[in-house]
This record gives sequence, C-alpha cells and structure tokens, in this order.
Amino acid sequence: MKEKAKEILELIANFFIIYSKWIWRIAIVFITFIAGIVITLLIANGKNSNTEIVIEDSPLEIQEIRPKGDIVVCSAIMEDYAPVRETEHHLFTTDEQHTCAQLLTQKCCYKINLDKVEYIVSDSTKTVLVKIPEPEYKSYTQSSEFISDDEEFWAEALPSTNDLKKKVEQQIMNKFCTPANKRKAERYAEDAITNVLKSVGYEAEFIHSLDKGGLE
Amino acid sequence: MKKQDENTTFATKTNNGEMKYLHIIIYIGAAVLTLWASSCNGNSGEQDSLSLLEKDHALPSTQTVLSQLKQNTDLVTTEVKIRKIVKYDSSKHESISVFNPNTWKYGERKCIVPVEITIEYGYDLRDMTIDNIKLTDDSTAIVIELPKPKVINAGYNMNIDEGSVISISTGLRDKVGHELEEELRRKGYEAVMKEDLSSYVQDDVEKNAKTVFESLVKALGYKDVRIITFADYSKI
Repeated sequence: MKEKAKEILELIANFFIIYSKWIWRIAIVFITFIAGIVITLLIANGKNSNTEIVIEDSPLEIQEIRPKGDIVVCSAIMEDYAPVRETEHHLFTTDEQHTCAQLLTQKCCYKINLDKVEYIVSDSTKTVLVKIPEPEYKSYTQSSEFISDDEEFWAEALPSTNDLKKKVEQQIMNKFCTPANKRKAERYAEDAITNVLKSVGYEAEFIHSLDKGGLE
Repeated sequence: MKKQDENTTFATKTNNGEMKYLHIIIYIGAAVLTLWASSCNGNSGEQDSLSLLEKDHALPSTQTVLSQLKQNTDLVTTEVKIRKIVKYDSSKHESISVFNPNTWKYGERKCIVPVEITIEYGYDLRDMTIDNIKLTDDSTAIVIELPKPKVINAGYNMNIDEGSVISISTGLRDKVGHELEEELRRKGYEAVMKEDLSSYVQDDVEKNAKTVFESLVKALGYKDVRIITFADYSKI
C-alpha cells in the first residue's frame, strides 16, 4: 500500500518533470490572467466609488415674478421615505435581491390667502370682525434623495421615481395635516392679524361666518 | 569516470527529487490562490449587502419629524420661479492617482438635468413692532415701515420629466441613475440659493408688499396709506 502510494506520487512528480516547461508557461499565463482580473476588478470597483459630484456653472433663468398675499403659519421640516424591493432573475446564478428607497425632505406649512380674509369694521367700538378662510396645506421640497444597492439595475427596473415621490409626499402630508396642527395654524394666523390691527388701534374678533348683520 | 557519472546521476536524482516536491508545492499554491480569490469575491458581495443594510439603518423612521413646528407668521408677497440647467461632466473633475485604485475609472459620465425652483419672498411679521406702524396726528393717514424682505419659503420641483434628462456614460462606467440625477438637482438648488437674487427681485418684492399692506389697511377705512420700505428708508 505504502509502495503503491509512493509509486503514484512518483508518477505525478515525473509528470511535472516531463511537462515542467509547459507547466511554467501555463503558470505565467494563469498569473497574467489573475493580474488582469484583479486590475479589472479594481477598475470596476473604482467606477462605483464615491467621488464628489461637481456641477458646471450655468446661468439662471427667472421665469416668473408673481405678486402674492399669503400668511404662512406653522412651518416644519418633515422627512420620510418609501422603500422598494425587487428580485433580479439570473439564468445561471442564483436570484439577486435588490433594494432602493426614495427619501424626501419637505418644508410643510399652512397658508392663509389674505385676499380671502373678510373684515367688517365697526368704527364706533373700534372692533373688526374677521373671518379667516381654511388654512391651505403647502409643501416645498428641500431635498429628494434616492438610494439603492445597484444604480444601474434600478435605472432599468424603475424608469421614473415620480410615483414613489408622490407616495412619500402623501405620507408626509398625512403626518403633518392633523386637526391639532390645523387648529394651531388658525390660532397663529389670528395672533398675526390681531397684532397688525392692534397697531392701528382696532381690536379683532374672529368668527366662522360673516354677514352684514354681524356675528352668526 | 564511472564514479563521476554516478555522482552526477545521484545529484540529478536528488535535484529531481527536490523538483518533484517544488512542483507539487507550486501547484497546490496556485490552487489555494484561486480558492482564496473566489472566496474574496464572495466576501465583497457580502460587503455590498452589508453596506446597503447600513444605509437602511441610516434611514429615518416614518415617525421622524426633523424639526418642531415653528411658531412663525410670515407674510409672503412675491413668488419667483427660476429654472436652472444643471450640467455634470465627470471628465472635468475626476483625476487618476496610480496609488488610489478608487480613482481608476475607465470612461466618463455626463448628465444634464433641469431643475425648477420656487422662492417666496416676504416679511416675518414678528420683526414688525408697534413702532413700525404709525398714525398721523389727525389719524387720517397711516405710515408703515417694512423691514428688509427675506426668503420665506423655497423648494424645487419634486417630479422629474425623464424626457428632459440627458445622460451619457462611456467605457466601464455605470449608467446615470436616479441617485446621480437627484444629487445633481439638489446641487443645482443649493447653487441657486447661494446666489444673491436681490438685485433682480427686491423692487418687485417691495412693490408687492406695498400693495398687500395697502389693501389690508384700506379695508379698515384708511384712505391715505403710506408704506415705507427698507429700500426707501435706507435712501433717506
């Protein structure tokens, strides 16, 4: 048994001696191949590595300047996200799970259009009856970030992120538009109008509906 | 002579014996190297999923409200809409360092994304005190001093018209995806917000402020309203 093993070992060794020239040649090709793969992997890794994104200088185009008359109350910065998961099917290898998420940071607030505020002035009592319209919800996108495990895959799998953003926007709106926040918005608007009217010598009285007869 | 031949044969035999094992060692070494390389590749896959998990951890919870409700009462008098074409060309800002494999990038990425920005100007009503609103002695006219206008709200369009986005990638570079597009739009927005637009919009902001205050005070019955803006009293 021992001799048989020695024989096999000798056979293998002889094989290497006879073909050593070729083995060396193959080894050199193999090493070059490995080095090539390593360099390619480094380049492929480098293409995804983070580098600072610098944009070119470009002029601004002012498209519109519009007059407004709104009181902005109760502003807050809100952030939310919506994730998506998808499986990529491969022919020869196992399926791959991919994840991405759309984040939105928005400044949310309530607006009261001053054109819709109604006043009835009573000069004798120096009182103004004021009816404020319903506060209107507004949001301003401060940043919109998309994160994923494979930018190229998601560029194909998700041609547009607009629906995802609408979903996140709705989530933010649901969180911000609570009856408590709406009440706060009305109170802050009343305070602001009261202060302006006080400055010109009038007391403000807030009502829900207004007719020429006064309070309802 | 025969002895010398025997010696040479013995030396060759010994060398052949060492060579045998040397070859086996080299062969085993190459096999181990190959296995190690493939296991490294597997680890990098794990790292990818780990980094995404880390990113996932960085996500805020759905209940996160980054700032408390501000007790602000701002008056918006002017809305300005701005369009900026954001241009990105990787070849202009990326450099290759031999010692840093992260900079070994073959190819370029270029992208053009338009971004529409809305800025609302106006006044913080809390900045206005009773001293800023004065009645004339006969109480028939009112004088309002307005502070310097400021940005009340600003933001950029949330939706992207994919048809208006141009993206090019060459060589081994990834296609331009949503991540880069969003980053470019954010950079474009930040660049606009850094610019001083007062020379373009201040006149309009103050003119509109006068209109808003006049209509507010005239509703109270004052016929004569004089509004002094920040620009007016900085001239005095």
